[in-house]
Amino acid sequence: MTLDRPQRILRLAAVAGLAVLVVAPWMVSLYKVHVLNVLIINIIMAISLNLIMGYSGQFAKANVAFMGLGAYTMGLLVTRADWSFWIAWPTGALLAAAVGTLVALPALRLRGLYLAIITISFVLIVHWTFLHARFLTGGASGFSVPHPNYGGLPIPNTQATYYLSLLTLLGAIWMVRNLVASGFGRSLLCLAEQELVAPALGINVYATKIAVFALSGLLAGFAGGLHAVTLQFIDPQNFWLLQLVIQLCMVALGGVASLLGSVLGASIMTLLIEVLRAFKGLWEFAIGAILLVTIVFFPRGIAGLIEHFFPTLRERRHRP
Amino acid sequence: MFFDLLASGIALGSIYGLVALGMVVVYKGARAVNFAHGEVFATAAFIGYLLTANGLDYWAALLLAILATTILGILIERGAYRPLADASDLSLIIATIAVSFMIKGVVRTSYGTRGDFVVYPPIFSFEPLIIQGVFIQRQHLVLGTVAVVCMILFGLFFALTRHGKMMQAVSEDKDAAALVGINVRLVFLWIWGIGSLLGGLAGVLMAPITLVYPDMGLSILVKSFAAAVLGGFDSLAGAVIGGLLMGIFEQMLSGYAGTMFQDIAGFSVIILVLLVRPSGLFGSKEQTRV
Amino acid sequence: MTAALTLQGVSISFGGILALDNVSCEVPAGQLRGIIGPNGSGKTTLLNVISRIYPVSAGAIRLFDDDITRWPNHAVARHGVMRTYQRVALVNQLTVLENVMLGLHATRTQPLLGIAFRTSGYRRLEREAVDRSRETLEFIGIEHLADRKGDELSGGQMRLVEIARAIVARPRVLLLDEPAAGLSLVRIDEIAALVRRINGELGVTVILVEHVLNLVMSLCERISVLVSGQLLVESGSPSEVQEDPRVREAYLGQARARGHGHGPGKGDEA
Repeated sequence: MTLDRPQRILRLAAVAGLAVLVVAPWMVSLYKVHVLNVLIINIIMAISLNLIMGYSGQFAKANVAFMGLGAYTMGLLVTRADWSFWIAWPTGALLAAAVGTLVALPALRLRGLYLAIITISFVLIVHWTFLHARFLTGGASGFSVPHPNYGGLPIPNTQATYYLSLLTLLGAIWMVRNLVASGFGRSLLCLAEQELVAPALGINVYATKIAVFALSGLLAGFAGGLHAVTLQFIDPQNFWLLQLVIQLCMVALGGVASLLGSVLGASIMTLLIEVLRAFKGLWEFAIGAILLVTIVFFPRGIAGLIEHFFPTLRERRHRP
Repeated sequence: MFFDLLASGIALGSIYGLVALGMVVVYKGARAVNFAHGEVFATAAFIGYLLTANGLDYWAALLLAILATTILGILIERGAYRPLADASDLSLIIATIAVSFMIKGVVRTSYGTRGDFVVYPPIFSFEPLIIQGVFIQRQHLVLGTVAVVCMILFGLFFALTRHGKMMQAVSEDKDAAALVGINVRLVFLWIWGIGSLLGGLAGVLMAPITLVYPDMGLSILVKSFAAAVLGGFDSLAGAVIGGLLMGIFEQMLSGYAGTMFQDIAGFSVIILVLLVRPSGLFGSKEQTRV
Repeated sequence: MTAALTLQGVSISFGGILALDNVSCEVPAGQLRGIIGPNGSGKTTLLNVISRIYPVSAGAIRLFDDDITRWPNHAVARHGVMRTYQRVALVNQLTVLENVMLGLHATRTQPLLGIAFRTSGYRRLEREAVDRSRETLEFIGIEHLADRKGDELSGGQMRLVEIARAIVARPRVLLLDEPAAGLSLVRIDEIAALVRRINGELGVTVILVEHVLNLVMSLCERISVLVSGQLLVESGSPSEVQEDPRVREAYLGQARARGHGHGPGKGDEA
């Protein structure tokens, strides 16, 4: 397939961005490696949320809870049961996916605001459990998590974890890109725009919703495990409403139903929060203002803006 | 103990009800969920605090604070709602979230060196009243009474006055309302102004029994949103009843089972209610149409 | 001749009002059946009941040899009942070609793992889907629109795309809900020719609900007349229906009640 000019430029930018991310750990301070690592995890979370909110148009906001479940499951298995990280991590993600399936069940009946509040309630209850099941979770003070065992890998642990996150992100992008450019992805968009028409096209709405919740939970669960080993600490405050709202902003800023949007939105938000960290009131105002301007003038976010000027950069919905 | 808890539950619940009522007014009238409503509440509390701290009487501070939040509501309408009136629900929600960030940023900056938590001067002494053996905080009594009176006044306003009826007409069908000569844009301003007024009122009423801090908006927003959903979100009476139920249930659970349960009591109920009744207790059922 | 679709005593009520009252009829396989009736007589409701959007209150629906009365609605589509809508329901985020590919959901389950890992088996499936969708667009004569987005089309083009989406999976029964609504005369002729070809060349049983009476009269072999939720005429030839005084009375009665001189107008019913 031949690429036109904007497509070549985008591909070049993606390769350049990836190259920067690959060499960065050796060029910048450990702290900046840490920030980049958090940025990568935020992108995974934005993709996870975008799958549910953007692609399939469901007002479900339980993703931080899935992330927390992934983190706590991994952390507890490693610290309390002496499991290897390499088994505990996917276990946490699978648990998050399983719980995602459970949360999908009420979502089959509920719409809009009602779905939003039931999933927000779920987030609050999960957070509350982390906070109050002290014998297990250490309550509000959280608990420390060791580095994963990288065996004989000849690089420091911080960098190794960073590369693990990067690999996970690439895997997630590859898979989600395959999924959204397929019959499954098209049926998600049909759910978002024409939910009543979907079954008349032979789309099993229930199965599709359950699948997308499980998938979103799986991604968030993996991200949660990575988050825990990146911070080497699990703190219940990281799986609360504020993070939920910030992730919502990442998706809205970048653009709904767009992978490129998830990447850009999460990157911009993470860097902005980082730069303005010392001035909390200022970053809140700045984020609010940027978000408001974006949503008023470009309802489909930055990705929508890009597609408007370069229609060939539209995300593909079929790739034979 | 039961009646003590009931009394404080009603007081707290009437605050949730007031905030929820503000959200439902905006939702019914303008088809928008105002996620900045919690920040309106917090702003009112903070302005009230600044004014009382500078020597103003509680009630004068209350009036000025709710006037300020009414203007804030009108500004939100102009800045975030009007440009997006025909956009998707998601865009509108994001816009109000954006506004909530902006307000919170400004409020937090205004706290300046005051620190993160400030204490609102109490209206009365903390010594409780004892009526028929039931302990009632004076503050709770005032709070509950004012909230209930305001709800009644608001109900009368909505049902009887010309402006109230215009708001009803616009919420039923804004195109038809425009056809019969109602200035829809002006009514939207009213709706957002009144919605915010209710939120601000709750903020100043609540402030003396809690601390005032920049992040106080989020938790009240979520609780009132939950109360509104519990009541059905498009029912004014439902919002008030939902709020009261939330408040009573919270106090009961924290009284009998432990204060740690206070924070999630309402949300567990929400989940149960929505599983049984997907449109809340008093909400109208969504119609499917092809 | 086998019956493609059989309705036995089908009733449905909304809030106590009977929208369909004891409707029984049989559509033989391969037939092009028209359904007419004044506004609000329950025509669209009938289609919604057949495609199982609404559950029936009483009665039974059979599709060839299967009793589909209690089936979930996606299963009905998977067994070969596809439809179009009064208000065109395309997915605007998808191109025309991708919208048509949506119609193929009726014939296949989505192999999620195959999709996630892009196996060769899945890619072959996707290539077939593209090919079949292109063929269908060519059959209708709109292959030049393949890469347009849903919301960049004219009303007539949208209707054609929706028909393409409904026939790409070669349904056994096609339900058309007012395909001519809002179209110019020339466009209506095009739709008529297309429906005839779908019925004739593809052998699809077609049930056509339509307000444009000329279209129904010239196109359909048999016509059912629905008035106030009841079948006034179960199945008649166009001339029988035209000469039936009861049919004329039903239409005139409505026209008189609305104070209009002419026959059935445009309207929408849930």
